[in-house]
Amino acid sequence: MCCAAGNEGNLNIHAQVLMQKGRTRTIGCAMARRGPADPAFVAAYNGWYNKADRIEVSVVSPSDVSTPFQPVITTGSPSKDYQLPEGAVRIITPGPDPGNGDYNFVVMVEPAPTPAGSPPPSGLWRLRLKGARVSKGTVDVWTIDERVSLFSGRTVVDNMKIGSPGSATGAITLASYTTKVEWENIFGDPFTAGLELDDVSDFSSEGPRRDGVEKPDLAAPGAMIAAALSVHSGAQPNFLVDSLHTIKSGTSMATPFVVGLVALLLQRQPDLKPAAAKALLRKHSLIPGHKAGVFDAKWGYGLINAKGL
Amino acid sequence: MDWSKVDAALAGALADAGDPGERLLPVFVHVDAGRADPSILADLDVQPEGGGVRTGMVSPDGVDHLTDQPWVTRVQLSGPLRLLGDA
Repeated sequence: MCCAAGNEGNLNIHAQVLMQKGRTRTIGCAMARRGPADPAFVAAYNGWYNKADRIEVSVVSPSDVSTPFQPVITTGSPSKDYQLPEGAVRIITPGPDPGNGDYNFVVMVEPAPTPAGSPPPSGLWRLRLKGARVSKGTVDVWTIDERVSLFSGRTVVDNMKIGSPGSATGAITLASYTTKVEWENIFGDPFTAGLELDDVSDFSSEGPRRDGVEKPDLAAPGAMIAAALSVHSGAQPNFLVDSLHTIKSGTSMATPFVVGLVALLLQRQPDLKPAAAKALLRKHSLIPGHKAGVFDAKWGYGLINAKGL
Repeated sequence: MDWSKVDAALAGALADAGDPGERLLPVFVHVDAGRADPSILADLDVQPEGGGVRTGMVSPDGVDHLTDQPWVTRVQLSGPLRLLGDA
């Protein structure tokens, strides 16, 4: 299976704090403002930490009103609801995850609509964490939906942004490489993308995985790709290159290149197993300016030398 | 309910108000495939046959029943799918 790494390279979707016993750390969460007529939305966050630690979780509203610290709850429902002046908060702190033994928590915030005529709140909510028991100390938190909330401040870290399914061990996970930055639309108007040519695309999500597993695996062309145009796509005129093709960017555009390569490999060797296909592709890849076999959290193992496969 | 088998997102969804026998939640059910009882899974509209992870739309009461089964190791809420935006 080939998967896109994701397009969050420029987005602050990951925060990391190092806890100390008895001390608190705060993570700033810049949230979309909800006007008086706007529909309800929920900003959600998922945090993970080592099985040796115990972290308590609290939420602070823009007016500095806080929920109590909620510890890990192993008896009964681990979900508790709180009402703060600027919205409703749900904190979920279950026992250890059956998959890896580590602990995780989920925080959900539903901002209340701003009353008509009143100034909007700052929009800055905060997650506050307290180290009840600390051995390892690292807590990683991700926003679930970058469209409504991103992290702000010094706790933001620019790595570990590849989510499911690209984070799957067996997946061949693709970063985007920029092979084109200029195009003309269907009317002959010239356009230039704000990307560095012949470099990894800055929007491409970085690895590695939280447990250190190397992701992404490889990089392939994924920026300003002239793609087949669906009648349902609603392409913007600036990106239409003719009546049948539109310019698209993203690691989802990089992925089909490698799907095609794997199809050719399977044509040559029908019994090729997924892990062997990935190992073969990695072996014949390199990051420009480096030797083969060098991994980078943005590039993976780099560009594939298809002729060498 | 055996809460140790319920993931955080599903615990949050179970906390929402509503008829626990009627509201349906999309879930992944992790089972010991060799011991799983197909009839119990089928009664709860979960895939009765397959590997270690089955899918289904299950009520909160159904989740409660599933977590009581010794061959069920974990029940997770399925995340809503959406298209990734253009970069």
